[in-house]
Amino acid sequence: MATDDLTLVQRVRTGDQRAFKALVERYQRKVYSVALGMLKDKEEARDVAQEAFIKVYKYLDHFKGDSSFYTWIYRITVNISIDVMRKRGSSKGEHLEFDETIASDTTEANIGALGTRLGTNPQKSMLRKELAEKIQAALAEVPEKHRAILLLREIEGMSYEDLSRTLGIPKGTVMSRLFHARLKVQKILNEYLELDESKSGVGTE
Amino acid sequence: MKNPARKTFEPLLSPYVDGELTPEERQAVERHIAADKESAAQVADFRAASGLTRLSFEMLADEQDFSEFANQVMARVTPQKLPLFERLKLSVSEMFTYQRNTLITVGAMACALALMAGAVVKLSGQDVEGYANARVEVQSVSIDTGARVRPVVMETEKGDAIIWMVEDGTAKKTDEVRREELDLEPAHDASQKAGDL
Repeated sequence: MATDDLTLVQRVRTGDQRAFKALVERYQRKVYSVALGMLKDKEEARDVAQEAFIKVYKYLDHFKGDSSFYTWIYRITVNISIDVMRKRGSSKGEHLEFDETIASDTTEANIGALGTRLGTNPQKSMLRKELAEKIQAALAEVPEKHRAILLLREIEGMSYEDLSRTLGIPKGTVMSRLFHARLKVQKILNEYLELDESKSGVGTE
Repeated sequence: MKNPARKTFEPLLSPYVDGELTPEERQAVERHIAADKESAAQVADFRAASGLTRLSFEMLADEQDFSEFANQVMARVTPQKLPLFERLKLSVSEMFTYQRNTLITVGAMACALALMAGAVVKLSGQDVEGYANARVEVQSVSIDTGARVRPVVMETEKGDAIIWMVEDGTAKKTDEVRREELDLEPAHDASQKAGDL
């Protein structure tokens, strides 16, 4: 039976290095995925994932156990990723903030096209590497705060309550940001599928 | 938007897909999407995008080699060497935590081996009684009455005993007297026999 996170954290506090290694091995894949989703660069994502674990180790005494360990590590990952993006953005003069007061236009999203073409089961949709990359590209166009929330929801399957705790925002904001992020991804994927369909028809069920 | 109710239900479609609505809200959304095809299509889109996003990240994570990732992290977080006593304490604690079964097995095997070794040592240490023993301790040396030799016991540096048989002149005389008394022929090689002994 796998040891739970809090027991491992307690062992790390007593100096047990192997307990920390077990935590790293447990979360490395998902932490990397979240960082990759945020940064869209494999090398940077790996560095950020390592940095996140190092911070976790360094500040483990600050972790009180009020929230779950995994929400804490994802919060650290998202924050480091945002820092990297800001550094990158400021050097390129990119604007990363998102104005939530702007209403999303659902008419642009070509509602229903994605579900019709791909179905709800991605395994059946013959997802290709190209499509996976397109999703990454679509996510890159989603504002950072919305991207973080979408990634944590889709990769980790976090509940709205955990998302609220992880990102320090009200549950209502979680709901709103997820909705906007999804509409954006949907729109970009539809554009890709329309283009792809006109070329070869691939992507339809 | 053709259906005026859509504006009300639109923000609930995403949490509906995520299973984050209360039972009442969920029922209301389900009634709405049954009546509004566009909302139903929106829900299908959200589900498709959600599945694709998850799968795309799994594919990308599969491309990454994580075999050395944890070791690389550990190399960066390993603290400076602890004092010897602390390291020993930690090693023992880790052994009991992670290798308890192995430790029990090894301990049991060590006990069994120790018992077997003890038994072997005990058996090999036992002296064989009598002349089969490698060492025979000389308790006393005695001769028959009338013997023509007498024993001289000497001890070597190692504690071994050497018994020399030395010709005894007085014994010869006694023997000769006895033979004369019995009217026997005198013994020719009495001294030689003593030497043989």
